[in-house]
Amino acid sequence: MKPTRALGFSLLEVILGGLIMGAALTGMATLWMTHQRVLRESRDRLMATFILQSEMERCLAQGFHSIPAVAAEDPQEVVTERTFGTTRGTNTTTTSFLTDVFFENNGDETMRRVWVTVTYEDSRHGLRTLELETFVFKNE
Amino acid sequence: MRMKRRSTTRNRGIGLALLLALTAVILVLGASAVALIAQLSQQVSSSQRASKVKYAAKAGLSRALLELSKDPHWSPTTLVLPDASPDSFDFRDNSLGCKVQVVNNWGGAAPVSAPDSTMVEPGRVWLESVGTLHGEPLSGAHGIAAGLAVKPEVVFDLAVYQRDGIFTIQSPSVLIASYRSSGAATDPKDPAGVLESEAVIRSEVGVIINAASQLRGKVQLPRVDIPVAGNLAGLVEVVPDGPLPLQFTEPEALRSLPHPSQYGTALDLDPGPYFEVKVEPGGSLVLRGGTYYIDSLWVGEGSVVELVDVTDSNPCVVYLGEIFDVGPDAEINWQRAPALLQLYSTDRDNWGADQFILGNNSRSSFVIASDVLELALGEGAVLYGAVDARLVTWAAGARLIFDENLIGQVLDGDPEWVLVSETD
Repeated sequence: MKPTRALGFSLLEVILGGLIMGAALTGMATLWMTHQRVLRESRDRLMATFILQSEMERCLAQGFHSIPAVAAEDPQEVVTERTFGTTRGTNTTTTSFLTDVFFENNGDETMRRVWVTVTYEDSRHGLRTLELETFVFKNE
Repeated sequence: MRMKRRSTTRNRGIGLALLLALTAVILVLGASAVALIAQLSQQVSSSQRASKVKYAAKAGLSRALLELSKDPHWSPTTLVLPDASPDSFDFRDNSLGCKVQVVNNWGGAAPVSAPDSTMVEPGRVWLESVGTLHGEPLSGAHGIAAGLAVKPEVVFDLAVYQRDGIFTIQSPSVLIASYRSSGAATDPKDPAGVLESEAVIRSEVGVIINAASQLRGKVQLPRVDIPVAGNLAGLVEVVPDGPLPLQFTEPEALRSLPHPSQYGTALDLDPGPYFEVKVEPGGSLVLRGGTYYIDSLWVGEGSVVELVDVTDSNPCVVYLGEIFDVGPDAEINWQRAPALLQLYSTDRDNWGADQFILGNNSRSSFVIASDVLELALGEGAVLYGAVDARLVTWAAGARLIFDENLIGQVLDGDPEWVLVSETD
């Protein structure tokens, strides 16, 4: 009776399999990290957009005549905190958003251009600034 | 015993095949993850762009208001920004822009239809602004608004225009007549004034005048079938369209300032906003040419309200928020032309009515208007000028003497433009 040599995996299979699996797992790990980074960036950009809109609405609600007073305020800081649960406990990250309001008058001061900026630290791009702008008529 | 060698041979390479299949699954999952990430990133960018374009659209509405403030009849086919206008701005982000459509019914007499089937009432302007990015309109980022003059042009061609209910004078000895103001610094009235018969009263639903009262003029009605009762034979004329609606709001320039209260027997107030102004009985109040907002104004018994530094081109305009109460025997702008004192009620609390009172035997000279005004003339009260109100009530002996100089005269032609409704 001959031994069953053919049963199990050949060395070639193990080597090829290992290489392919390794490449796939490396790719997945890179993808996972990219996913995490993009997720965080997206979340920060969404939050920045939300803060921008809130600040712009505050300016518009106060009206034309109050815009200089709003612009004269110190830049406002909004800090967001996110906590992730892991098997080894929790992981908390914070992002600081700094908002500022600017304006300028047209010639006869019947209209103001208002723009709001928000600046925050982005892991890939460094300091990042988003901006919203609109015009406000005197009687609004 | 024979071994099944053939079957063993067939198992060779099965591990690799399984691994490849597993890897393929992993790659499909990976590709899905990449697609998800790209989609998420795209959604965030799109949300950011939508936000920018939304405020660009709002900027277009503001710009339209600016144009309307310069010319109430402004009605371009389309306003496209940026347009490098010296009076306005261009966007800091040069990829942004907006297109504004205008349906201007400022001077119209009947409602007109806007492109979205909204009916635009006379005196209003329909605006639609669509924000653009690189010249392309973005859906879901537009504003629709109506413009309204908070200080519409006012013309007092009628002695009394009662906008609501039946015009009723049940009390005896009420007189409605006319005169022509002198145009001089002083405007002598009783007994020097000669009363004429050019006073026109108008009601949309009917007129009842007690036989013991007198109208020296005409009754104007929108249709011939409107009921008229009293000694009015031969005095009726039919004019289908009445004056435009008159709604007033405290001017924005005053709204943002402090509103102090003033109480006393001798008050001298500069133009501006006030909360409560109360003149004690026998006291005096001096008002000047310019614009006032007074939430509540009480003029005590026997008090005098005088105007200084007023001219035809710089009258005293008072927006009244809630209360205007003139005590018995008080005098308001007496011996001066009525057009120099213009009173407009604003219904600050949106109650739908402002009830103003001219006390017994008071003597006044002014014009007064508002869709929400309910004016009561006390016994023997005399008012020179004109009244455009929701409702007017008359006590015995009250007199309204219309100033014929008001006919065709446009008062207060400096409208403010605001958005009365806005949707994104």
